[in-house]
Amino acid sequence: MPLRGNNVRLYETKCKVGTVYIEDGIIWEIQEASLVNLEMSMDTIETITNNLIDKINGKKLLLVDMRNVKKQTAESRKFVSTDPSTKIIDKVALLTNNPISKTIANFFMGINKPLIEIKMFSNKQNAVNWLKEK
Amino acid sequence: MVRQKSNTQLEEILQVIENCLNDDFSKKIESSQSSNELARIASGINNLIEKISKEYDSKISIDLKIEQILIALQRAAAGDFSASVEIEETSSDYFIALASGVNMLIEEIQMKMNDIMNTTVSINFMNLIINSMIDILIVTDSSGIIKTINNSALTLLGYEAEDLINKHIDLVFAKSDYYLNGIGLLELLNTKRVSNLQRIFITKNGERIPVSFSASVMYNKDNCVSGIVCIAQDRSIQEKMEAEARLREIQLLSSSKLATLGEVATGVAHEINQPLGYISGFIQNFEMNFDHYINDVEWIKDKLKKSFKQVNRIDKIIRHLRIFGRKDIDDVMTQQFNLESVLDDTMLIISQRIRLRNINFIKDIEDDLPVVKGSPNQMEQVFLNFFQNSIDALENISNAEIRIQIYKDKGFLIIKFSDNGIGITKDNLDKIFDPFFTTKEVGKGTGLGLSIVYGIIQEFHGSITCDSEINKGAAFTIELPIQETK
Repeated sequence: MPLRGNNVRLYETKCKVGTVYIEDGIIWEIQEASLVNLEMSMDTIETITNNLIDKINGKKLLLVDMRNVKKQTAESRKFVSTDPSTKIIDKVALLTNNPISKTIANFFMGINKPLIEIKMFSNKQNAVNWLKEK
Repeated sequence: MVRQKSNTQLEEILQVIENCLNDDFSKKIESSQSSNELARIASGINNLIEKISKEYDSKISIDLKIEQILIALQRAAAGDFSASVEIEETSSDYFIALASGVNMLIEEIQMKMNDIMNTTVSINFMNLIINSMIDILIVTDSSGIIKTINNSALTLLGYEAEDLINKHIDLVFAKSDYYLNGIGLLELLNTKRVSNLQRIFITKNGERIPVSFSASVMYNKDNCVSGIVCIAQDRSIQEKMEAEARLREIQLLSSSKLATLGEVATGVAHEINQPLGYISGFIQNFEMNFDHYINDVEWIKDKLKKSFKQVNRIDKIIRHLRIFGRKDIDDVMTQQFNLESVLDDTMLIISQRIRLRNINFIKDIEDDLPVVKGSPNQMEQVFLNFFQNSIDALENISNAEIRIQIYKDKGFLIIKFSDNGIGITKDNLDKIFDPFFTTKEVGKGTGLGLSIVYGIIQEFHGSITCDSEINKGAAFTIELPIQETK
């Protein structure tokens, strides 16, 4: 079961890939689906843009809990790493805890090279701390 | 008996062990009939076989999975990017991670390959662009030898690519237009580019195609000349349209001139009538007083001389009208003429009207004016239209005056044509050069005069402006650039 933040979750919204909400000034994206495709990625960005982004003051931080993910399609990786619509986010932490999600995350960061600042973590608190670093 | 039974069981154990050594783990030792010791040994061996069997199955399963990965990689290496490793949910996370990594790598390679195929890096893509161009594209090496030619060029010129590749580009130029040969090539290498040269291409069938030709020098990464990129546009249709437009313009000019002639016909009749009257008077007087004058040879000579002069005058007017009225198709814009003599020719057919209307005509022309290059006939049309308009504007005006000044000013020839007539309203000033704009009564003016004047002055590369105040008159100023004449 993906780990959730300890504080109060605000603006929790279901989307095709799972759930998005704001906690502790960070946008959380809990990926509940094991297969993430292009449609889900586009839907997530749209949901965050429409419901959450303007609720955040200052830097737009995103924590993606992808520990449940077993596969992410190439189109989805390309979209998330290159599409201008993803530029609404300033900093992204990827939360992984198994060889599969780590491989996907590593691949995404190394091969697709997203333009946004991005880092992989296996510990939630470390991810939150890094996101909040100035 | 017991020994014999034990031997049989030992043989069975040995057989099972041998099967195991041959990777056959299906047989187990039957231990129910055995002694306690043998039963324990058999049970132990069976457990051992079961464990080895599981390990063996696991090893086989891993080998099969690695084989799957290898097959996928080999297919991808051979260019088949549809290959992927099948991932079973029951597999270990490490295997899933490994298989996912391989699958993602293959997908990425496929996507990158697609990107390459669809970017300018791809030769196929470049060829698609080149052959989709409407314009003609010919690329030569630094000495003008054709290395690339696009479909538009081949279609226009009627050649196959192999007819032109490795041939000199001058093959497609008309002889008089040889460009990338000798001096032309050196000039291009020096200037680095030329644009919109009007040239003629020759098709395989010998047809002449007018083109607008541009070329630029191509440099390699070491900044050395690696070739010449030539672009050309087919101007056949455009030139045909321009010729038709020119013909229409000439027809319009011609009809305007005829209209003007119609309007000045009364004046022309007077011009001719006056010398005719003189001749007629002489003949009548001579006939009536024949006896009186027959012996006065000096009088007769004098009158004949004067009559002949009048005949010459009529002849001159008629000749001039015929020249003026003709179509200007052959009237090239490269003639050199003197503005004052054109003005004098105009006066031949308009002076009588000016006199009849009691208009004071003032001519102020600077000495030693440079000649003008263009069509004198068209310039006369300009003067005639000005006179025509001024005469109409001066109707019922006392102290009517038409003034023309011609002088040089800062590289321009200035023609100022003014009158003190009724003038033009401010609103109408913006419209006077529009075709068919007229303030004259219906049937009196075509509304084409000043628009024709405007067009003619454009052809002389000049400009025309008008200043006017109502009831104070109008003044037209023409500026013609002074051209060097050889």
